[in-house]
Amino acid sequence: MSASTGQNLSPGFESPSRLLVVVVPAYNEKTNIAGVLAELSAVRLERTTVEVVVVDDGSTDGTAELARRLGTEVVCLPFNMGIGMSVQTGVLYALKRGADFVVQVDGDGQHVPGEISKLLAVLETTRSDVVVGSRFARKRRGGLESTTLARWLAGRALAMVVRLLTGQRFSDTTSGFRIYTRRAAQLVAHSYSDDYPEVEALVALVRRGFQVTEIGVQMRRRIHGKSSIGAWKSIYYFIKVILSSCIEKVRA
Amino acid sequence: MIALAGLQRIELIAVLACGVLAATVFELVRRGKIKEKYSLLWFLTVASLSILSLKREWLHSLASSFGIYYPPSALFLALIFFVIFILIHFSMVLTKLMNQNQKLAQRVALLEVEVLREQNKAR
Repeated sequence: MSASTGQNLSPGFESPSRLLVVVVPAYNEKTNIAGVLAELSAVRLERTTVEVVVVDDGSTDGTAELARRLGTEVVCLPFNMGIGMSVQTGVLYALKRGADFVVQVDGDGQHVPGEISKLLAVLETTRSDVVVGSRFARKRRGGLESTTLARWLAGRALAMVVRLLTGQRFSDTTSGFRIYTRRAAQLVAHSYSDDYPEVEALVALVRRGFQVTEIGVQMRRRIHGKSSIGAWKSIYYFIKVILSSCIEKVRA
Repeated sequence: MIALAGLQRIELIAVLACGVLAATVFELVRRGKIKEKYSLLWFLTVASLSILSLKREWLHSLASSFGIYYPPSALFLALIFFVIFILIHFSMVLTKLMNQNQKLAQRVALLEVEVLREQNKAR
């Protein structure tokens, strides 16, 4: 698959001037990964080469093998390390490849690869360092209809915490659908939480003076399988994320 | 030096317990089950508690300065203090270990990709 149009990049030859690496963190996503990769292979961007890397977080269902068979570059973590470590590993890979932009697209099919062009376009027009794709930004009340009340309330609470800590409004603080410039990606490569990293990363980025912009994007519900987060874990997630975000604000 | 016979029962038990703890930690270090640097806090604990058990005046003045009526209770307070100190130290060590472990795993994963790429090129 597409993945590696950039592998034989010799300078001057067709020279697509910029490299965008799509990081796809995946943990036991055998049923979803092929669809995501197929969609990603169809992504075409102006003056920009697209490379895809799957970061397999110790899957036991053969996600990595499948992705490899489909011709995608796969970074295999030796054991399950959490979404944050997967993304960070992917970012490290991207920086090593010399990426100018890094995009995170989850391996479960929630994020729509076709929207990457929108993220990149907004990144350029607003001269931002990070653009976050939000499933709510276009909706006034934050999309209660598409989720449970508890989740909705938690989402609103996190948005409020982030607003207090950053002075900036975000409607979808837990969204992992993001594009980073190389400079912003370097921060992620340097420090990123191992589990549930999205919210505190917003705080860290804004605090260090990076311009973070949120835009509305189309997102899908999971096609196969359950979300990795159950009820008790959600409570832990909620508390842990608020604590980490507050600490991020005063981190030494 | 106070004669052992002059000790209250609780103080005697404390001294004996300290002796057992010190011997256990020492043996574990000797067998390589505990690193020397992680045994130091334990020996510091044992030494402090032993001194407080044997030097009754010190225990009493510690107790009265904390407003504790029954001096041997101050021993427990000191013990809890050391145990909490050691546990926090463990949390720090654990965090450091986890960070190193994560970095190592990431580097291994990235190196594996490069090795596979080189192998494919060679073929």
